Amino acid sequence: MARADLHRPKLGLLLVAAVATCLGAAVFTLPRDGAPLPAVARYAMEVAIPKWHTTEPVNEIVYGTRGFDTFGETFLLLAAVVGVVVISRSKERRRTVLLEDVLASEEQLGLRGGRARGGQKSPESAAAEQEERADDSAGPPREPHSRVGSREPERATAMTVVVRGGIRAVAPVLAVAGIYLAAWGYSPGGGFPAGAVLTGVVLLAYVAYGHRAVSRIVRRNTLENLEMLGAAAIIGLEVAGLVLKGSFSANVLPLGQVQTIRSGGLLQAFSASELIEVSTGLTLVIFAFLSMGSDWTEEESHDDEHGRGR
Amino acid sequence: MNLFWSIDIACLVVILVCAVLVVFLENLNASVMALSAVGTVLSLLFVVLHAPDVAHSEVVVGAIALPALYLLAIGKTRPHVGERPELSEIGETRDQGDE
Amino acid sequence: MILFNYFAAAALFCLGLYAVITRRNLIKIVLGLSLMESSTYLLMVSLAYRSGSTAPLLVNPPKGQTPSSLVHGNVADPVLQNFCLTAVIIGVAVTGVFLTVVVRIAQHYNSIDADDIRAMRG
Repeated sequence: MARADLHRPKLGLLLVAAVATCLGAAVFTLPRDGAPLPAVARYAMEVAIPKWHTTEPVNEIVYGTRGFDTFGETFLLLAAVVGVVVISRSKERRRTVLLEDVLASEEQLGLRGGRARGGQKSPESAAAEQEERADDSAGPPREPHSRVGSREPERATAMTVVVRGGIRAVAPVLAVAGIYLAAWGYSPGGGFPAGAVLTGVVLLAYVAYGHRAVSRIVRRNTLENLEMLGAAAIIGLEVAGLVLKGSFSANVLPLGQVQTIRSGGLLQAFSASELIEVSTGLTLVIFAFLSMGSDWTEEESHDDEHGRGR
Repeated sequence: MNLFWSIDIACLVVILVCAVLVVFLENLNASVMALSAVGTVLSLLFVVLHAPDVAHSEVVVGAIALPALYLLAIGKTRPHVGERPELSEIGETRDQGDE
Repeated sequence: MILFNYFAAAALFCLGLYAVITRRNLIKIVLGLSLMESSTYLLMVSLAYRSGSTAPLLVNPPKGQTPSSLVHGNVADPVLQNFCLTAVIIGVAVTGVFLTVVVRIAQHYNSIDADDIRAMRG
């Protein structure tokens, strides 16, 4: 490495050692594994079957008793997804309006005319700026773009027929397993892991079939609309509890038989919309990341920054 | 030291070794794989610690989502940062690069 | 015995912190952050564990126990597991945001070395 790969390791080590001693001291005060179950956990266990007709207390907590916490987490996930989509978006092609260049030129003339009459830029500074820009561009010629990676958004090609065949057999099974995780509300699972499994299945299909095949199915705006639909469903469910039953995530839906798909009423509806949220959200994150070109920085700062960047 | 605690300690040792690998490995791809190992063994530990729900999501995240994101990031930064030893795949010989 | 879990979580956290503080490569820093997240998951689930207990499920209880007896029986703590369940998925999305920013920095500054970026401010 030209420069030391670590950045002030001694100081870093000292800081980390200090944090380690504090954590070590704090660990002894943590409750050990013999401690009795806290009251809220015991309440969740007791209330699982009578009130919610579900035999899965963790799901009952995630979507029922502490529904407000999951509500907040879901919109945290939405914020992260919107963040990724916005940062990785490519520049839109500007739709020019008719006669736009004509109108713009007059406006520019007026502006430049104004500046010319008012703050007269001294000729020396203009010349100096010109000269500075000139020698910057005469810097080291841009290294021939290496074949190692292309700048355009990722366009994976499909894999061999063996892999495609295997994936064609496995992907539906995995998708059904993912949906099963969320459908069987009374056993461990729920919207969060099921959504992650579905994202994994989409990734599997993407790797096997390449970008063209998958981009027909995974269209970005349908995913975004689906996600907004899921978020609206969650808001509807939670506010319905507030409106009808007086408390935020109170159960408004009919409670099904104990060990059936519909058992748990609101839990199942919340878990299903959470499944939509997480699967579309994570797929959007990965596909926005994939299709991130580098056209933001292409013109203005790429060449002159290049000299300093190397 | 019944079976439970032996599995628990074994998983912890593997997780810590992989974590050390993540931090001190030179090659980025290798450290991403080490992070994936941490996630997967952590999910096994969650099963042992009676937390099946968390194990479900941790195994998917640790094995599929996180490594995919990291490898994509490495792939995306490589053309802009050019030849850096830690960005190249292991075993990528010199002539593959652009001479 | 559970102390091993707590110490392992603390050690994992410190490793991640060391990576974040001393590494120069931005992707290595994000890897350190992921390690710190994993350590919080480990700590939370280890805190939720109760010795000699079974998972907080009432689906088909272990032999000799009925769902109602399990409600008051010795089970792991479901509330702490609930925190962990959502945190794992949100962690992926947040890591996605970090990595997108890192790639944009790489595109703009042509280098993902933390010191280069700092040197170029202003």
